[in-house]
Amino acid sequence: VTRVFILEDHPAVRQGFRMLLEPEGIEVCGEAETLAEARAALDPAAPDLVMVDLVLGLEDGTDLVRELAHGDPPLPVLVVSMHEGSHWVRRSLEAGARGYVTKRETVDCLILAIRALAAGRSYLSPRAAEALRSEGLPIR
Amino acid sequence: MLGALLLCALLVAAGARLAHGARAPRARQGVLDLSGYDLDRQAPVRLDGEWAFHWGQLLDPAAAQSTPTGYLDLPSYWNEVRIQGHPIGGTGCATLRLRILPGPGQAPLALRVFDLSSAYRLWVNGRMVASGGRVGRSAQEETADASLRMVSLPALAGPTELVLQVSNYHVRGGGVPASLQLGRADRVLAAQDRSWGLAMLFTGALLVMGIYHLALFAFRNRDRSPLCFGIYCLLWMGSILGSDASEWVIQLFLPGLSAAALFRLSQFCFFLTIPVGYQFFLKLYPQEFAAWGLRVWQVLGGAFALLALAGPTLRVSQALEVYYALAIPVVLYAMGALFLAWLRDREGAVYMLAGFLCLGMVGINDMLNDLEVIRTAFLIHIGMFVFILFQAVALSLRFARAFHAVEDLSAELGEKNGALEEEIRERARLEREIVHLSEEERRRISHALHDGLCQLLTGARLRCSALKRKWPMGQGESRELAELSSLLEESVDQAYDLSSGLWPVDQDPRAVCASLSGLVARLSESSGVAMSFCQKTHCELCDNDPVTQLYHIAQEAIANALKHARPEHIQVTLDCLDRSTVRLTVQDDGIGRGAAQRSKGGLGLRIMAHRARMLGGELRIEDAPGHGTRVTCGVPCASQGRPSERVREAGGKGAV
Repeated sequence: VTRVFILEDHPAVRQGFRMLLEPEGIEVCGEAETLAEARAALDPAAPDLVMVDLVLGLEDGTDLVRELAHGDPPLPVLVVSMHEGSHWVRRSLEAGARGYVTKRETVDCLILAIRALAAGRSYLSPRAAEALRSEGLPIR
Repeated sequence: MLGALLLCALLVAAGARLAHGARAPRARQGVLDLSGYDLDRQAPVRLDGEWAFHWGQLLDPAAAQSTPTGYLDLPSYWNEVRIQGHPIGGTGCATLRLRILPGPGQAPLALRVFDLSSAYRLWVNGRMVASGGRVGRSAQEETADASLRMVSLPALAGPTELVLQVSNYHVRGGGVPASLQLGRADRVLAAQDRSWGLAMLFTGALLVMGIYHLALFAFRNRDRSPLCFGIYCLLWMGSILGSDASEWVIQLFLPGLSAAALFRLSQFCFFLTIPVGYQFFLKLYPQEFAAWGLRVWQVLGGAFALLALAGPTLRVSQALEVYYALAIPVVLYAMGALFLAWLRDREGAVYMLAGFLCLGMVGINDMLNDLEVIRTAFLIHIGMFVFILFQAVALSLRFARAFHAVEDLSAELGEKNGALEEEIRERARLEREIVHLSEEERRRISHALHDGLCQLLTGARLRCSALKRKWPMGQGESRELAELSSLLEESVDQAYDLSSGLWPVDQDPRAVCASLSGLVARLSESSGVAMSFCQKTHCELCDNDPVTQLYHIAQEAIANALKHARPEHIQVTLDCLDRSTVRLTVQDDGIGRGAAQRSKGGLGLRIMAHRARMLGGELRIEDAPGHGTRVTCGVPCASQGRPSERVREAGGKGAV
C-alpha cells in the first residue's frame, strides 16, 4: 500500500482526493492545509510520497517541495496544481518535485503519477509536458 | 488740443513775420537805401519794395535806364498790375530795375535768387551775373527754370544797379513771388544750408514714416489704414521735394532734374494727397467721414493728377486755383469730422485732430498765400511734420494698448492654461486610478475564480469520479455519474478559461511573455484561427510592472482582429528593440482596416490607446504590408538582461 500525504488548502479537493485514492489502494496517511501543519504532521504520518499544491492562500507550496526533496531521506513530491503555465512547472521541477499533474487532467493521470513516483520514477502529466515543450523548443 | 491750435497760430504768425521781415529797409521808387544798414553785422536784407517796372520789354542794362511803365512792389506776381485800367495777367515779360545805395559793410556779399516765374536774367552794374532758363516773348521762346542761384558779389563800393529781365509763359503767376536776398556771403550761405537742412529733415521724416507704414501694411494687410497713411506721407514728400517749400533741395542730388519735371512731380503728388488722405481718415473713422466724399475726390484727384502729368504747365498752374477752391472746404470738413470723432471718443481721434488742425490750417494758409489772398510764408512742410509727429504719438498709443492687451491676454491665458493643465493631470490621475481599480477588480475576480470556484469544482469532479469508479459500468447510475463528471469537467474548463481571460493568473505577474504565449494558445484554440507568438526579449522575466498592460492590449487587439477582420493567421510579437523599448505587434492577414472600420464599435481601440498612453507609449494602427492590419505598441523599458529568442506556435487550424 502506498502512503500519501496531501498538502492542499481546499477541503473539498482533499476530500475528493481521499475518495478517489483509497479505493485504488492508496492510503491517505495525513492531510494539511498550511505549510506549518504539514511540517508538524509529516514525520508522524511517515508517507511514501507527498502531494503538494503550489498556492496555499498566501503561502507558496514550492518551499515545502524544496525542503522535502532535499531532506534526509528525500521524499518524492508530486505537485498537483490548478496552474498550467510552463513557469510553474519549471519552478516546481527546479525545486525538486518528481512529478507534476494539473488538476484539470483526468483522475487516471493522478493515479498513474502516484504509482510512478512510488516506484521511484518521475511523472509529468500531458499538460505539464506540453507547457515545457512549447517553452523550451525554438522553432526558428 | 489747445496746444495744437496754439502751435498753428504760432506757425502762421512766424510765417507772416518771415514774409515781411522786421524793420528792414524797403525800396522806394526803384531805389533801396542801405546807407544805414551794415551788411557786415546785420542779417541779409531782402530786396523788397518798389522796383522800376518796364512791362512787355526785355531791356538790357543800358536801355533799362529809360522811364519805367511804373513800379512793382516785390515780392509779388504782376498779374494784378493794371495798365490803362486793365490787369495785365500772369503771362508776359518785363524788365525790373533797382538802384542800391550801399551801407558801411566791407565783406564780400552773396545775392540769393530763387523762385522767379518763370525765366530770368540778372545784371549787376551792367554785368550779367545769373540766369534761370531762357527768357523769351512766348511759350516757345521761353525755357522755364526758377532754380536757386547764389551770386557772389564784392562789397558794394558805390551805388549798384540791378537789372532783372523776367518772362513767364509757363505758370499762372508771373513776376518775383520770392524776395531776392543780399547779405554777407557766409551768412547767406549758412542760412541756405539751414533751410536745406530743415527741408531734408522734413522730407526725411516723411520718407521714414511712409516706408514704415507701408512695411506695417505689408506685414499685416488686414488693416488698410497704414497703407493709406504710408502713401499719404510719400505723396507729401514728393510734393514738398518739388515745391518752393523745400527750395528744391532735391536738385542738390539730382542736378539734371528739370524745373518742369519737378513742377509736374510736385503737382501730381499734391493733387493726390486729398483723395489718399480722405481714404485714410475714412478707414479710421467710417462713422464720421462720408464714403461718397471719397468717390468724388478719387475722381477729382485722379483728373487733376492726370493733368499734372500730361497737360501744359500753364494749365496745370491755372488748375491749382480751382483745386484750392475745392480743397479748402474739404479740409474744413475733415477738421469737423475729426472733431466729431474726438467728441465720440474714437480711438486716437484726439491726436489725429490735433495733428490735422495744424496741417489743415497751414495748408489753408499756403493755399491763400499762393493765391496772394494773404501774405505769409509757405509752411506746409512744417505742418506735415507736426501732423506725422501726432500720428507717431497716436501710433505709439495704439501699439502700447495692443501690447498691454496682449500681455493681459497672455497672463489670463497662462492662468487658464495652468488650471487646464492641473485639470488634465487630475483627470489623468483619476483615469489611472480607475484603470487600476478595474485591473484590481479583474485580478480579484480572476483569482476568486481560479482559487475558489475552480478548486471547488475540481473537488466535486474528483468526488464524482470516485463515485463513478465505485459503480459497475453500464448501470443507470453509472451513466448519470459519467455525465455529471463530464459536466463538471466542462465547468472547470470554462471557469479556468474565464479566469485566464480576465487576468494572466496562471503566470508569474512578471512573466509577460509566458502569459502572452498562453493567451495566444488559448485564443487560437477557442477561435480556431492559427496564431503564432514570437518573442525577442533580453530578460527571462520582465521587471516592468506596467508591461502587464501589454497583455491586455494584445488581448484586445486579437479580439478585434477575430471580431472584425476575418483573419486566417495572426502573428503576435514581443520585441525589445533597443533595450529601452518593448514593442508589441499584433498583425493579421484579414480584410484590412478600411473594411473593418465599417463595423460598429471602436471602444476597444480607444481603451487600447488609453492603456498605451498610461504606459508612456504610443499605439499605432496601420495597414500591414500586403493586406491585413498591424497594431503596434511601443512602451519604455528599464530592465536590462541577456537576450533570448523564442518562437512558439499555437494550435488551431492551419498552424505550422
